[in-house]
Amino acid sequence: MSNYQSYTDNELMQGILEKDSRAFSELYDRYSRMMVNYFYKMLWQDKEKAQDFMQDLFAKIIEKPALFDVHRNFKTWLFSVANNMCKNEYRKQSIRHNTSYDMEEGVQIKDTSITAIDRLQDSQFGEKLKAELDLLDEKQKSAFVMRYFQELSIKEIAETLNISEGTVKSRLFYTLKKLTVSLKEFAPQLAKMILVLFSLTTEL
Amino acid sequence: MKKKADKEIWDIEDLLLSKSYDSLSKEERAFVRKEIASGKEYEELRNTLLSVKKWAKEETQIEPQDEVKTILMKQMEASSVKSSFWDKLGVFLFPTGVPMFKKPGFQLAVMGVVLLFVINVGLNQLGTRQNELALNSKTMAKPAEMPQPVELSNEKLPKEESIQPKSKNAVPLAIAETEQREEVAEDEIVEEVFFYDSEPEPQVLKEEEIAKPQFDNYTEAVRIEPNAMRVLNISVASLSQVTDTKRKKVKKTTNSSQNLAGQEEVIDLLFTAL
Repeated sequence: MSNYQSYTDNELMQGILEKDSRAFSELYDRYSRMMVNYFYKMLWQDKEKAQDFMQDLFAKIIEKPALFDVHRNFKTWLFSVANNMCKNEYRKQSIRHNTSYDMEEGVQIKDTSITAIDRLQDSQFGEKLKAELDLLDEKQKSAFVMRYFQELSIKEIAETLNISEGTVKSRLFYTLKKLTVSLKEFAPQLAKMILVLFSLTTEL
Repeated sequence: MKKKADKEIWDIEDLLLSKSYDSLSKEERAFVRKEIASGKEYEELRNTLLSVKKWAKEETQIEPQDEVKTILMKQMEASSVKSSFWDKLGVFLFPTGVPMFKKPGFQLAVMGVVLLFVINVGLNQLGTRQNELALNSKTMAKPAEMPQPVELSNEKLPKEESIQPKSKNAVPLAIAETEQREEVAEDEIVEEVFFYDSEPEPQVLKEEEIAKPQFDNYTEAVRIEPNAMRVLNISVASLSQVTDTKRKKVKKTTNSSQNLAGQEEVIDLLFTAL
């Protein structure tokens, strides 16, 4: 077990089962960034919460590595555990969770005179998108975040959420439709921005 | 049908990412129009999707804190120290990623249960047979109306009256108390038993004399041994005759314990006479 980087996730998990701390270190390096960002997206862009949840997730791996099924894909298993943690957090927050909380870190777009490019530059579009994501149903949100932020394949999402690939595609499509309606005010500017970007790339 | 519809939706996403509405072929437009109402909506969806993807790539990613890793590594090292024989045994017996029925722990448990069941059932069956045999043997060996064997013991006698055998010629006998004797039987037995071949006429003892012990210990009895033994031999031989006579004359002599009382009575009288 000298070069841990060459080991697969499942082999590293086997090492963790045998209490190999270097195996754990390698696995942590591989997935900690991805998972903290997943939690960040899923849990209302709360950085502290994201860090705490990421720590809890890896602590679970240390405490109960036997829970991992070696025949499963580690990445999807890890995301499914993380997703369950988010679900539990949603339940906890269901009483306190309201629109004002969601919009706390989002930005209310009032001035439509600013161009879309300006908004993008100021991360306004991103903030609005985050806010809209938080308003989504948990199922739609998780699939959308996994697909477009964590870049998981449709198959991986299906495995993670334990649903069919068709259901994943369907969820993604209808979430996109919903977001398009929510972000409609950005549409003309976005179209303009995309055209500019395309023209720039073609010129180059 | 559902799978086909899902595939079409996925194809639409592919198209959204790769082609504008104007660049779609006729077939592709027809295909897209099943889910999307117009070219305008198609473009809106496309713009949103491209914007989301672009933003997701450009967005600053947050980094995991170094402290978190330190804490977790300490936790990992602590858990590795705790790892003991029992942990390893647990991992061996119930490995992960193996179907339940293939886990050694489960297999051993099932084997144990089966063994217990087999042993239990086997023993129960054997036990049943034995019980049946035992019941039968009891029935055979212990009939309800069999008389109890007579056991004469010195415990029944007062200490002063007990006689311990010391010589070969002496006959160990125990004389029981004669409180429950029946008067009718007693008189007749005495009359019938006390006669001798070469001795003077038998003496009929009065009640007071019968009750009173004639000698205090065994040594005294041994001194008169020659005569006594003869009398005893005669009396033992005639014991059956006496009991038969008694049965005939006494109405309540069905009980074997009463017979015994009669025998004891005779022996008592014999000793008294000696």
